[in-house]
Amino acid sequence: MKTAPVTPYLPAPADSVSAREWTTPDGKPISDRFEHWDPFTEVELFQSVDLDMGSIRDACRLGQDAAFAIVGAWYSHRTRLGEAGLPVELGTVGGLVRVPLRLVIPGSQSGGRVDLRTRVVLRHPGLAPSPISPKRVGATLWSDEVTVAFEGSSARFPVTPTDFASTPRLPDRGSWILDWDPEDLSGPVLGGLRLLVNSGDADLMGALRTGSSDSRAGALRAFLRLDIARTIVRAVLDNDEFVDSPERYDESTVGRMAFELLAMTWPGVPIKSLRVRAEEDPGRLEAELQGHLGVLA
Amino acid sequence: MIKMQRYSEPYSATGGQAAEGVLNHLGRPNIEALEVLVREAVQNCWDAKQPEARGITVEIGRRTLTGAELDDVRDLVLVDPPPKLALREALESDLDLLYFADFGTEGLGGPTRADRPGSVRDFVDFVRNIGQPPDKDLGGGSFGYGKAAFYIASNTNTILIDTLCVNEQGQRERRFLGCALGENHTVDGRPYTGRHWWGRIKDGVPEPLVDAEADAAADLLGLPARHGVEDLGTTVVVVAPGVEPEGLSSRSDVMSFIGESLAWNFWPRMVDTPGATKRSMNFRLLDQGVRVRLPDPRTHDRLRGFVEALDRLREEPGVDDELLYDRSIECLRPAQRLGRLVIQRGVVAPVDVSGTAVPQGARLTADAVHHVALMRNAELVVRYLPGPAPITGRMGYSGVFKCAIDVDAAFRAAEPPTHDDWVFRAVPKGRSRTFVKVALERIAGVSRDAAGYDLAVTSTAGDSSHVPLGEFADALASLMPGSDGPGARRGKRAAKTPRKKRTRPGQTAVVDAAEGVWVEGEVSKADEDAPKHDRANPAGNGTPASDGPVEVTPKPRRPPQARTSGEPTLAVDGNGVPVVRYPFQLRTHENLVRLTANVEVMANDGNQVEDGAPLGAVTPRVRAWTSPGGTTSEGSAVEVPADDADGLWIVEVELTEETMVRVDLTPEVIG
Repeated sequence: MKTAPVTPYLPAPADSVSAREWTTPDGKPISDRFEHWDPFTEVELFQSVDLDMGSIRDACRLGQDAAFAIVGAWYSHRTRLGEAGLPVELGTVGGLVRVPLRLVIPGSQSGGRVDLRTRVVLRHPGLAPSPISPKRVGATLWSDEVTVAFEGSSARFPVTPTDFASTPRLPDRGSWILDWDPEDLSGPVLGGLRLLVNSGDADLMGALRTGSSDSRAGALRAFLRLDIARTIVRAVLDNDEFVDSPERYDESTVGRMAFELLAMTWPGVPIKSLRVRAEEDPGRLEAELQGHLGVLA
Repeated sequence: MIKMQRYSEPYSATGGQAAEGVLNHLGRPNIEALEVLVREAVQNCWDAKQPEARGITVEIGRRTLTGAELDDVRDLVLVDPPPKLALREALESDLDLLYFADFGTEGLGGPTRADRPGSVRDFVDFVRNIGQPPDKDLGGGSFGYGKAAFYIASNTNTILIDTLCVNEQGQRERRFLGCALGENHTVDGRPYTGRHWWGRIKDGVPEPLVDAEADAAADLLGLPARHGVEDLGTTVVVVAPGVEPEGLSSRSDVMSFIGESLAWNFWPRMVDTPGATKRSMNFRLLDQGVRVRLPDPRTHDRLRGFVEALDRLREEPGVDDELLYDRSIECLRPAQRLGRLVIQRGVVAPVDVSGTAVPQGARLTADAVHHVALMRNAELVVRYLPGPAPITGRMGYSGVFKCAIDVDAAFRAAEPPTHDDWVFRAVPKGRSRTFVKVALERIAGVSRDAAGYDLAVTSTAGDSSHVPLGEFADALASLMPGSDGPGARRGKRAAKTPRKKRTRPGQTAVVDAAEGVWVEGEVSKADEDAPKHDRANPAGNGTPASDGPVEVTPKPRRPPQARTSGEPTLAVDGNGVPVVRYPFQLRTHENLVRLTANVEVMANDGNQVEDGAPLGAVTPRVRAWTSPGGTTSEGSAVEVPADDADGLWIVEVELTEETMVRVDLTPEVIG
């Protein structure tokens, strides 16, 4: 039988510190996942922590001259990188204290599941710690950890910002283009299909960026979605191979994705009928697509 | 026994300054009176530093005189209280004294009369004259009005001065004198200025008690002893101090207020910067003779940022980074280097919500630290200049500005008598005025940067091919039903709060799961063989079963079991040795059992067993076992007595510093 390992010093009681939820800068608590994260997102998080310094001192048998600090840290399971934020020095402060902690998690170093840790550490044991008090500077007296998913397994359309001006075949002042081969639908979605947006267009990028406050952002995104859907629908209905046997494509291929998009938009309508509609009454087909996706949604 | 005499100053034919005017010299600063007193008193001490001394020591003490001590003061020291001074009433009941004693200083030397010549004039400047300009270069004070703070702090406007100095003959001399500044008044038709002295009247002038008499008077009041050359210096006693900040009830609050005031005003001289500057002010704080703890600026929740900025300022200028601004502050026309500013950004300190009286610096920074400590070359904090509040509301900054040595005089000229501000308009027009004005503007500019106002857009946002588009990509995901991707979006299920993990170092899920589970022990070698033998040959004696009477096969006994029972606790045992006690439950199942404990040192936050001890390391060992019946035995193994076996055991392991340990317990059958 093995006992639990025990620290060689008295830790702070669990209820002497109460860490609130981590929040975004606007005070909104993050849940167990951080939505819309991508590697270009710098995540800034705050946490408010209440500490009962008297209870910590009593439990650790430390005097009034013992000094403490509290520090937040993150660790990404995807990159195996992590970093501590700036510690908040509590010094020899007593009584009940509320401390704001801040963490900045650079997108380029994080991803996957991210642990957010909060630790109360010893800064100075004071002049007369007891033999079983924490004495080593930096000893962890209390800690708390939550795990937040920055990335998961839900779908995300592949989008790549590209400077059109430095790409030969793209017009300098174009805004976006769907980069794919409509003749090869058996390739995987991730790799076979992507939306290039012109990073040289500052206005466009400003409206599309995560958290944009641009009033045109919503309409622009809806319009883009409709435009991409129309591009895909028109192209696949023009592809004989696809129309002949639309169910031949494997999971995660562009063909399967297009088939499911059509099946969702026109439930129960055979692909062949849709092709006829595209040839004879393309306006109706587009209006139906608008109806399904919404133009100003 | 000594008995002092009172002398009240009459108006001379040519007039004189009334005492009340003197009391107004300090103006009405917006600082707690007690903090003004502490600032002025310590600044006086600093200005008196012996030129060759590395630093000074200041003892601040508070004493209450009662009974016989009080009678002695009334009868021998502050005798015959004059009119228009609240002294008589103050001497009727318990008398409080607050004294400031400096050591490593020069003492008040020179002649004791203002009308006698002498190159050193410290005594007459402090005791007789009012408002003498200082003769110290780069000193903290610059008006000599600091002494008014002592009189103001006293409810009776009375102070006592005890000094050990070197007199004109080059000998050490102790001097003791009482002084008071009351209202002007008339006695028997003669007008008096309101200035009073207690001492020995010689040739119509109140002279201090000297040497043995001064020793006796100082002892009577319980002041720090002064004998040898190391005791040179001055003790100023405020009689009946009346400067308790409002809201501070107890006496210990007042002393801790003094401690905080010292820290907030004098921290630059209280800290050592490794490799650069040693501390040059040592403080002792005594309340009725008992030492009071002083805050350490280096671990102080709000001062430490300033301390770190000063550390940097004391080093050679280095490279700025995101969290540190190190700037030379310069005036372009006329071209002049004005000083150096170091600002360190950091997360703000906890908000102080106590609401009790605090020193000015603490009050200014109560909500958040976004201030620059201004100082001249004396390295005494003039004030905490607030900069713009940080944009994010959470990243504060602490800065230190020290003016260049050749413009020290310009900044000194900008200080009011209380030395707690730089007012450029107070400086006569000209270069000096420009220097102060420009320096303050430049400091404000860098503060703005530190607050995040002019921060260049971060590189992430600046490069347009690195724009975060996650939200947009998630919005387009409806075009790809059924596909997987890297998004962390949630479906329609309600958001969950994040899962919490351990709150105690070393506690892991594995440990939690194993908690309280019965684990079977080992069966001894002999025992292991026996049942096998029995199974092969139930008779157990080698004879065929059919040959004799059939023996009953002994039922195989169950092995002993152990399980953990509750959290290990730390304690100090009867011999003062720190130990860890691991409680566990034992079931012997009627076996004779030996318990063996192997202490394992854990590394990596309790996740890994350290198999080889570092060279010279002491391996923690088992000290004792306590049986359910309370019997204690020593050693790493114990044979369990049959009558005191099952139940709650405790194994006690010596606590070695900085090792996380667990115990591997094996109950073993021995018969």
